[in-house]
Amino acid sequence: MASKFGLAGGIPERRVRPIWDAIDSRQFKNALKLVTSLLAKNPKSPYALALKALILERMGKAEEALSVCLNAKELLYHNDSVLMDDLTLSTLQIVFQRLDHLDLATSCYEYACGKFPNNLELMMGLFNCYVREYSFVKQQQTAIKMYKHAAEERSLLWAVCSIQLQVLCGNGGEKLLLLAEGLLKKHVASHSLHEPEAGTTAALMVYISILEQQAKYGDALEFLSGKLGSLLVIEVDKLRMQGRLLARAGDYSAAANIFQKILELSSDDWECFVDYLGCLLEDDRYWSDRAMNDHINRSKPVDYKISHLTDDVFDSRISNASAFVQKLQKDTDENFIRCPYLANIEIERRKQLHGKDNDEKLMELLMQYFVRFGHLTCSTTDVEMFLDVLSPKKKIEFVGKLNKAYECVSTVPTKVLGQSITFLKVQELMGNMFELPITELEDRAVKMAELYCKNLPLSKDLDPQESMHGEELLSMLCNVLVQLFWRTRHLGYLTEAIMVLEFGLNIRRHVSQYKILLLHLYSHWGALSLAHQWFKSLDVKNILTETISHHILPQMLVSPLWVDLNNLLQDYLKFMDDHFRESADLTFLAYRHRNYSKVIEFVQFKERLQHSYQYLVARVEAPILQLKQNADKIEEEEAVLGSLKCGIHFLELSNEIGSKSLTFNEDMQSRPWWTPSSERNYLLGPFEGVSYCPREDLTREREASVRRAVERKSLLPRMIYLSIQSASASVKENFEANGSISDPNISSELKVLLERYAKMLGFSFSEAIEVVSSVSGGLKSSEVFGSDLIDWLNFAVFLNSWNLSSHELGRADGDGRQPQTWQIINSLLEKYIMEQMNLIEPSISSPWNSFPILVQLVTEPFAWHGLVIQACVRASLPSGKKKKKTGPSDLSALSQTRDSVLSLCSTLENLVKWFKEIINRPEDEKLDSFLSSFQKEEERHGQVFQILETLASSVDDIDLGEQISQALKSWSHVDVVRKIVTGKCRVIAEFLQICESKLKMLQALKQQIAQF
Amino acid sequence: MTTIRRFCCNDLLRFASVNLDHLTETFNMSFYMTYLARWPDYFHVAEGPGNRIMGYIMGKVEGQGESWHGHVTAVTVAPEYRRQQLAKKLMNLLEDISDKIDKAYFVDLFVRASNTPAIKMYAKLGYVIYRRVLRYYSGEEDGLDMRKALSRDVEKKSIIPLKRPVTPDELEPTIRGGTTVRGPPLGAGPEPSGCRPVGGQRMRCLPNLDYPPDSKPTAVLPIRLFCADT
Repeated sequence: MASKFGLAGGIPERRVRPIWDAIDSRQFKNALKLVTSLLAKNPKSPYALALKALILERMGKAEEALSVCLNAKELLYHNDSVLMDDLTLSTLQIVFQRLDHLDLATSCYEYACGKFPNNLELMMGLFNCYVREYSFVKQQQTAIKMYKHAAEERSLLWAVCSIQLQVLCGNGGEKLLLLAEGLLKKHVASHSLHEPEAGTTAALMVYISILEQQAKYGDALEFLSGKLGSLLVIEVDKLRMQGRLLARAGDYSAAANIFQKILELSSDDWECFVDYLGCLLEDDRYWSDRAMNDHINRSKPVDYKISHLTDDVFDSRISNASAFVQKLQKDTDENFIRCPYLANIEIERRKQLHGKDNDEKLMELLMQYFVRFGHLTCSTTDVEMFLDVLSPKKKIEFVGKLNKAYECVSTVPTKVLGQSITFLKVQELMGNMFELPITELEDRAVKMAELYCKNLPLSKDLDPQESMHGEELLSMLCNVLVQLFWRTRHLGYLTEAIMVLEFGLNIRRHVSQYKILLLHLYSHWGALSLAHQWFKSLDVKNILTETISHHILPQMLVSPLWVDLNNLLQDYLKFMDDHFRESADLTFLAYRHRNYSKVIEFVQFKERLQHSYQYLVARVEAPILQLKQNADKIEEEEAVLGSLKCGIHFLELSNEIGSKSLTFNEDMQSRPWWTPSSERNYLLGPFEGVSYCPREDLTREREASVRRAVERKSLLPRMIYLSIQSASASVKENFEANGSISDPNISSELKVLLERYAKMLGFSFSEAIEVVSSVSGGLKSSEVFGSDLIDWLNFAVFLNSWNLSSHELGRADGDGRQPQTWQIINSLLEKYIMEQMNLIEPSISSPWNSFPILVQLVTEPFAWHGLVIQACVRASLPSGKKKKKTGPSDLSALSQTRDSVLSLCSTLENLVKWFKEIINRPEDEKLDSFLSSFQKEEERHGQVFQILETLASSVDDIDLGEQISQALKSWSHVDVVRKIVTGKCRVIAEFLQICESKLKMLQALKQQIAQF
Repeated sequence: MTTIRRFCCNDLLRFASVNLDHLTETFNMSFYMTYLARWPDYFHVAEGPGNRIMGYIMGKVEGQGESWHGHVTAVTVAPEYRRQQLAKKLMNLLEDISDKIDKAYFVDLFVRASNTPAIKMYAKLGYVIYRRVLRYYSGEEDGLDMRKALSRDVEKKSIIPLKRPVTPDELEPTIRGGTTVRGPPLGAGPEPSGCRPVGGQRMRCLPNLDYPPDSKPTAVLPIRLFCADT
C-alpha cells in the first residue's frame, strides 16, 4: 500500500527523479517526453498519470491535465491492485488545486482514508485538504481520529485549534470551547504536555487562549503560574500575559503591579505604561475594548471614560504613578528613552479628564518634552494626541512659549535644525496656519525655503541612500503653498509647490513623502500620467497594493489611461487572488510547525482581505473597464459580456453588498491634508480651513458612500447586456411580420433593475423618469442630479433601451416622431458633454477639474448608448439571402437611430476639435502659459521658487559635496514644466483617441443607415 | 518609546510607512507568512505612541551542528524613528533569542558590499565580515556575510574570517534557499513551504508556493538598510 523503500508511488525513484528535475527546471517538454515513456511501461500507474497531469497543467493545458487526473482517480477507485500512497495523492492534489478542483482532491483522500482507515499519513493529507477548504468541523473530526489512532499531542492540538476556528471564524457556538478545554484537560491529566520543547509552549498558549476565550481568567492564571508556566522562557512575555489576564479578571491592583514590573525591566515600553495607568485607575472599558480591538486602526488614544474612583483614591493612585515615573526617569541614563517623559504628560491628561484641569502644568510638561526630545523627527508625532487637549487659545500661547524656549537651547547644528522643524510642525499640527494672514503665510514659506537651503551643507557627506537633514521641510513647504493656492486661487502657488518637490527629488530621488504629495498635485492638475509615473516609482507591490493604491486608483478609474489602469487593477487582483489561493497552504504550515495562534491569525487575515472594500471595487471595475474598452464594437462587447456570464454574477454581488461587512485597509496617514480620503478634495471647493489635530476619521462616512457606489456599478454589466438584447429585439420585432413580441423577460428584468437603480438615486421609478425628462427639456435645473450625474445619464440610457422593447413610455409613430426617451438621452448627452467641456479653461496650465467627468460621460453613458444604437442598426441589417422589404415602421425605427447618431456625432466632433486645438498649440506657447503663472513680477508668489533657483545657481560658491552639487547643476525648472505639459498632453491624447474611435464607429453606422 | 512585540499579520497592513522606504523590500505574502508560521519568535515589530510602527526585524534559525545559527533576514526602521538606536535594540533581541532560546552558535546576516552605513553599524554591534560572496545580489553586486558569535561558541570559531571570497554556489544549502532551483533567489530566506520528501530523499516544493519567474523579487535582500544609527 504505502510506498516502499526506494519506490515513489510504486515506481523506482531513479526513474522518477529525472522527471522532477525537468519540472523543476521548467523543461516541461522534456518532462512530458520522459513521463510518456514512463507511462508506456507503467500504463496503470496513478502516480505516473499524476505526474503527467502536473506537467500538462504547468504547460497551460488545463483541460488535458484535468482529464488525465480524472483518469488517475478512476484507477485509484476501481483498481484494488494499484498503490494508493500519499505521494500519488499529494501530487494529484497539487494538480486538482491548481485547476480549482479542491473538491476532487478531497474526495480522493476521503476515499483512500475510507479504504485504509489506519494510515496516519493519509489522514494527515485529508486534514490538509480540509484546511484548504476551510472546513473547520471536518478538520476537527479528522484530527480527533488521528488522535484516537496514535494519541499524539499534535493531533489533539490540531483538533483544539480547529474548534477555536469554528468559534472565531465559523458559526460554532462558544460551548464548543468547553469541549476543547475538556479534551486538553484529559490529555494533560494522562500525558502531561511533553512534546518537544517548541511544541510545549505552543500547547500552553493554546490552553491559555481557550480558557481566556471563556473568560476563565482565574484558571488561566493558575495554569500560567504552575509548573507548565515555567516553560515560558521570555520573562516579559509571561508577565504581559499575566497582566492582561489579571486586568481582564478585574484584579486591577495585581495587574498594575505586574505592569510595573515590566516597566522596571524595560522602561521605554509605552503600551505597557498605558496598561499600567489603565489598571491603576481601574479603567474597565479600556480592557474590554482592547479585547476586541483589531490593532489596525488604533492610531488614536482610547477615549477613557471618566474614572469612577473617588477624588481621594484617584489622587493617591495618580501620585503613585507620578512617583513611579519619577523613579523610572531617574534610573534611565540612556538619552533615547522617552516613555517616562511622555508618561508624565499622559498622567496630566488623565487628571484633566478627571476634572482637574491644569493647563499650565500640561503646557510645562509638553515644553519639557520638546526641550529634551524636540530635535528628534518623531517628537511631534509622539505628542500629537496630547496637543489636542489644549484649548485653541492655549495652543497659541504654547506655540509662543515653545518658540522662546528654542531660542537658546542647543548649539549643535543638526539639533538646532531638528528643533526648528519640530517647532514648524507643531504650528502646522495646531492648525494655526489656517488663520494666518496671507502675507504671514508667505513669509513662513520663505522662511522654510531659506532654512532648507541654509542647512543643505549639513548633508554633504551623507551616503546618497541616507535621509537628508531637514528633508521634511520641503513637504511642509509644499503644504503651505497648497494652502496659499486654496486661499487665493493663484495657480502660481500650486506650480511652485510642484517645483519645490521636484527640486527635492532632484537632489534625492527616494523621498516617498515627496512623491506622494507630488502625485496628488499632478492628479489635481490633470497631469495624471505624470502622477502615475511617480506612483510607479514608489514600487508599490504585494501587500502595499492593498494599503497604498488608494493614492492613485480612484483617479485612474475615471481617466482615459486605460492601459495603465488595467495594469494597476490586474496587479492588485493577482496579488489578492494569489494570496487567497496560497493562504490555506501557509495555514497548514503553521499547523505543522505548531504555531497555533498563527493558524487562527492566518485564517482571520484572509477573511479580512476578502472583505476588503478595495478588492470589491477592483473586482467590479476590472470588467467595467473591459466593457468600456470594447464598447465601439458590439460583437466584441458581447464576447466580453459572455465571459462575464451576461453580468449575472455581478447582479448577485450587488445584492450581497448591503449585508457584507467591509474592511478598509488603506494607509490613510500618508495622504496630504487637502485630500484626506479619495472621496474628498478640499481644493475643489472654497477655502474653509481644516483642523488636523486630531486627524479626521472618515471611515464611517466613506463606508456608506462606497457601498452605494459599488452597488450601482455592479448592476451595469447586466443592464448593458439587457439593453443590447432589448434594442435588438425591438428592431427585429418591427421587421417580423405582424410584430412578434420580443422576449418579455428581458424588458421586465430591465425594468426591475431600472427601478432599483432609481431607488439608489433616491427616487421612485416614475419620479426618476420625470426628473430626466424635465431636466432634458430644460424644465428642471440639472442641480437635481447632484454628484450623481453619470448615474443619472446611465439611467436615461437604459430607460430608453428598455422602452424600445416595452413601449411603456410610448412608441414611435408612423410619422417617424421619436418616442420621448430617445430625445431625452440625445439631449442629455449633448447638453452635459458640452457643458463640462465649456467648464474647462482652454489653457493647458489650469487644473481642469471637470475633465474626469467629461471622460466618464464619454466612456460610460455615451458608450452604452452607442451600444444600443449599434444593436438597433445590426438588427435592421438584412440577414440571410432574402432581402427584407422595408416598411414604414422600420423607417421610423431607423430614423430615431439616425437622429441619435447624428446628434452624438456632432457632439463628439465638437469635443475632438476643441481638444485638438489645445494639444496642437506650439510647445513654446504651452510652456509659456505655465511659466508665466509663477514668474509674474507683480505677484508675490514665486519667492520660494526664486530662493531655490538662487541656490541652484550659486552651487559653485557653497560646499555641498559632490552628489548634491551635481544634482543642483542638473536642475532645470523648464524641464519640469515640459514634463508637466507632456504629461497632460498624453492624457488628452488618450482621450482623443477614445473619442475618435467612437466617432469612427458612429460614422460607419451613419453610412449603414443611409444604405437602407 | 518602544513596545517591541511579535509581528502579526495585521502589521502587514500597517507597515507601509516603513516599507515605502526604497531600501526596504516588500516581499510577497508567502514569504512573510512562512516566517510567521515557522519562526514567529524571530519576527518582531517596534511600536511607538499612537500605535505607529517604528520598525521591524525578521529572521530565522537554521543550520546543522556547529553551523546552527540565527539569521537576520531583514531589519528596517521608518525614517521618522531613525537615529535612536532602534535597529540595535531589534538586533539585540534576535541575538538574545538565538542565544538563549535556540542555543545557536552565531548570528549572521548578508549585506550589500556597497552599503557602507549598514556595514559600519553592524560592525559597531559586534559583527565581523566572515566572508565575501561574489555577485550575491541578483548576480551583480557582492554581498558580505557578517557574523557575531554567541555564548555557545566559546572559542569564537564561527567568526574566523575566510581567506578567499566564495561564490553563491559554495554557500551552505540552507542559505541558498533550499536545494531546489525554484526557491526564492539567493539567500532570500526560507525554502518555500509545503516541502515534502519525494522518494524519501529530496525535498520538493509544492508548486503553488514557488516563485514564478515573473514575480521573483529582483533583489531580495536579506539586509536592506536605511541609515546607520548614530
